Amino acid sequence: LTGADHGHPDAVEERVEVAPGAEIALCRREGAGEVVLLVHGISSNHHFWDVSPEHSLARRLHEAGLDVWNLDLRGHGQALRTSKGRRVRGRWNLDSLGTQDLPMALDLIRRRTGVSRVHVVAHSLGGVVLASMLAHRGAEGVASMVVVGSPLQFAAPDPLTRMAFGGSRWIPARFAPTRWPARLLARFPDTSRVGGLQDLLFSMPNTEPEARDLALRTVVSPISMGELRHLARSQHQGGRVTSWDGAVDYVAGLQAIDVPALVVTGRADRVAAPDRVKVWYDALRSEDKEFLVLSRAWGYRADYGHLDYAVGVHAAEELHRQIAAFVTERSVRGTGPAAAVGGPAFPE
Amino acid sequence: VASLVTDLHQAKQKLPGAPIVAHGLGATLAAMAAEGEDRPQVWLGPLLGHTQTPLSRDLTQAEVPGSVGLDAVWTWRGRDPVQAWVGDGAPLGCLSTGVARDLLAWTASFPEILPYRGPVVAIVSLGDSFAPVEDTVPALLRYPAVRIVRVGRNRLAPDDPGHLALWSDPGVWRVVVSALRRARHGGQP
Repeated sequence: LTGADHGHPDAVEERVEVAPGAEIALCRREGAGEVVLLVHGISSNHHFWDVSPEHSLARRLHEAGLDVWNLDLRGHGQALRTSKGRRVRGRWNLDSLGTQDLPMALDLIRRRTGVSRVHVVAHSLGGVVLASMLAHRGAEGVASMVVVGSPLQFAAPDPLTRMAFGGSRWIPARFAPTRWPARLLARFPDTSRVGGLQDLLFSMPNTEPEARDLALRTVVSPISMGELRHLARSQHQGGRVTSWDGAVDYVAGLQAIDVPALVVTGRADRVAAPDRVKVWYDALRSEDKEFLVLSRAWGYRADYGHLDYAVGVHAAEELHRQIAAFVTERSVRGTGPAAAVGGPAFPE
Repeated sequence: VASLVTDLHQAKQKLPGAPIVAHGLGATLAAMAAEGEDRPQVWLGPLLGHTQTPLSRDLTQAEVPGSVGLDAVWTWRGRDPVQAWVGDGAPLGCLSTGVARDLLAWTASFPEILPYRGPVVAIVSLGDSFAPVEDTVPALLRYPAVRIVRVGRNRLAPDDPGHLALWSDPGVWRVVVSALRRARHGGQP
């Protein structure tokens, strides 16, 4: 299969059936360096890490020599339909994604590349899926992880979170439409009352209107109610995210994980507030771990919102560069840091 | 700190049973002075912990001069450190690095939890870099009778208030008044 649908002539797409009637899709940009898997968040798709040539972690990592795989979880982006054109079947939750989709993606990548361990970069719900995998089956196959704006604790919810969790219980469908509301939101200038809602997703001073518009039009997939309902169960468990049956605590599972980790959050992230993300850093057993709050008080040029990690004005320079450095400094392929981060890939 | 806690004890004796509304460091002192009593408390951006940041690290390592030169402005990465720390609109003209260093050392040495077990409403804001949610919320969750209220954009307010704005934001006032009314009628704040 070609990656023409992705708009990158050099990209190659692969698909794997993860359950009857459900597939994942992977878009690869081949490189000789470290192997990296990018995972998107809820109601999103692989475009999150590849919004445009200017706003693309996938492109930056590939230009730095890395072998980049960009995942669409089942029911998202290219995996909303199977390769036969049928709508994804079945019901799923975070356990399904953490025990089937992500492990099978890692297995495929390891077979194709010959490496034993893969670096994982996950945004938002993608990080929760990673935590699910780690809690269920450990860190086998994971070389390092970068989790960005990924919440693992939902205690003391704000009114909007309560509304989203409450709504998930009453909507009987598998999906709620989010694409047309996102496109509607993109039509309004940010000064209007409707457009003002954009700053729940973006930090307005840190994003250009064109980038917000493009992100709202391309990175939004229908929201899976199974995923949202699973997160909503945390409200009956003191905010803890567990397996659907409550038997496996995702945060407790991290206490056995000693993989190098970079945990990133943003001061203006209104979807995954820093306290919900710092749980990762506090729980991991790893000695090699870092915690960053992308904010002016930490010396960054802006306070980052939930989608700024992809399309923020300074994201390429301040975040994507740092992710590339983190991954290459923890080389498992022997390519080392010098091969990836230096040179012209990240012009000053 | 000990003398401030004593002052607070004396002030409370003059107002028996009155609820306490305290901001920032004041909320920390209120928690320290509250052992053994259950008068309602409302805390705005309480300082309950400290994650080291590049700014706090640089502040603690900064050389403290013997006198204050008002014409020698100390900037941090080209910015006013007060604004970087407590938010825009800070009414302070300068920041004593000595005070900042003492404060940071003190917050870094907090006991695991301050000894308060009574009812408390804690108001926190995403925009608060001085008492950031990643430090305050995990600490607050360990209090047995706490209700955490997140103010700001997620309540459809115009903005996420910074640390100082918690004291002047009308949305915060409404939460405080509501909590005090509930406490007055015998409920949890």
